[in-house]
Amino acid sequence: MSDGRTILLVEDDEDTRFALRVRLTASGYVTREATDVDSALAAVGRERPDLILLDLGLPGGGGLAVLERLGGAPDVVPIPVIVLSARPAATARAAALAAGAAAFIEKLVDNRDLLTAIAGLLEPGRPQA
Amino acid sequence: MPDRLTVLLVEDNPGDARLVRALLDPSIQVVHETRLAAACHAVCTRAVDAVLLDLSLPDAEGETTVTSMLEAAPGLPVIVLTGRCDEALELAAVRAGAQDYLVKDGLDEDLLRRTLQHAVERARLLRELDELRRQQVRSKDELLAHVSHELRTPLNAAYQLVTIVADGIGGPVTGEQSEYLGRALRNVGQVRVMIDDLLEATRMEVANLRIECRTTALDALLRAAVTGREAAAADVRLELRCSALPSVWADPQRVEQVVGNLIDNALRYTPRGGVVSVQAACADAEFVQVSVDDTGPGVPPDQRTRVFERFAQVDDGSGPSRRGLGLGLYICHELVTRQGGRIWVESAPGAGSRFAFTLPREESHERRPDDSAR
Repeated sequence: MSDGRTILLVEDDEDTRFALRVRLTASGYVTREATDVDSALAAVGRERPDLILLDLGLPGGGGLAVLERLGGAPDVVPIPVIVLSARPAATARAAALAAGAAAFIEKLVDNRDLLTAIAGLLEPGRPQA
Repeated sequence: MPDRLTVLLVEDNPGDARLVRALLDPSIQVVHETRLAAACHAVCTRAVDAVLLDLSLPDAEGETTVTSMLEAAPGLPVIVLTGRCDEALELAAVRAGAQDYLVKDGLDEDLLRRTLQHAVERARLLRELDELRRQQVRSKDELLAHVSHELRTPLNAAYQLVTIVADGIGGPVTGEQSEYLGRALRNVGQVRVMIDDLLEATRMEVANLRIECRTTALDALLRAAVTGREAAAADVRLELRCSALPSVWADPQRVEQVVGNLIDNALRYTPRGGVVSVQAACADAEFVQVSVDDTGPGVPPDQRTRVFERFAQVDDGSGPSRRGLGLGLYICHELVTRQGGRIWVESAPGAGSRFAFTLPREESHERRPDDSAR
């Protein structure tokens, strides 16, 4: 179903990154990884991912800095970004959406929510489960 | 102490005003007002270090003069200067916030100078203390936010990895293994709730909790809260009963938090085969009432108010052995109260509990500001 679409995982915690990679690979996605703001921006240019999963607590300026700098590059086709955060949704959601995120998902929610959000953004025409 | 003090003298008797001016150190700049209203205006519009306040003015009388003055300029040192030697009034003035109480008869230069100087100095120390306290609250909040983030990260990794195994991504899972993994996940979930509650309770204390009320449809919200918990309620019948409900004026996320918390609690305390029932109906013309009934052990009468306090633990000898931090209902209480409703528990020991709360109906919210504008 996922047709080998590429997802860029921007996450500094190694085990979280590992777990997301296993989860997404099992669902048929190809994953690429970055661990800080600069490597994330470089990977966007290099890999042209179909979607970005972005952690907010990143070294080098935080996930919001990635969103802001992506928004400021007009030549890049907008790539949907899902912000995944360990911060409570009540405070972080508004900031992430204001900075241009397509969705905000609090870490530790049911993985179905995450996979549904990814599918919804990559295949907007397809009815969501 | 600043080089040159500015003192606001509030005195309607010209003779008394002259007397005080004569006793004040010539280096002090005096601003003179004869009415309380003008004095309150003066402290808001110009820098004043202290107030010498008469308690019988044309537009004010007694200790309320002090109260009004301090409402206009909180923290400003106010020294009562009066003709009446009245011990009861003296005490009332100090309780209202006056720094000191001087009687005009027997007042001399030295006493006035010292009283002013000490009052200004005390006010400065209080301001410093207040700033220090604010800084401490801020750093405590930052620390908790940081700690909670650091705790959630490894917890999230553990959660992800356990769900990967449970979903069979690492290979087939036997029924027995699946039960073990389910128990592991429940525990991870409990730690997460505790971290969230701790952080939320801290926000309540420092009053930077954000509540954004708007027109909110309650039925969809309740349905989602119940549906989302059906899996967790496998051994208990979880039902929702609500007729057509008017919209409420509330923060949907916060209402979800309250309802979710009450349902989770009810599920935790309801034995296998029991019933948890969520209901909503109009309480009256102004409020909608939501209640969550369970068939658990009930809340003993002496603990029905206490359950909404911080770190409260209900002890009836029959609840779950692990009760969490005791912050959930405290948070519910704060959230409901801050949205203009109230929350309470009704219970008969052994026959279950009903946790109920109210929220203002949208129309009643709309009516109120209109009324005040007219």
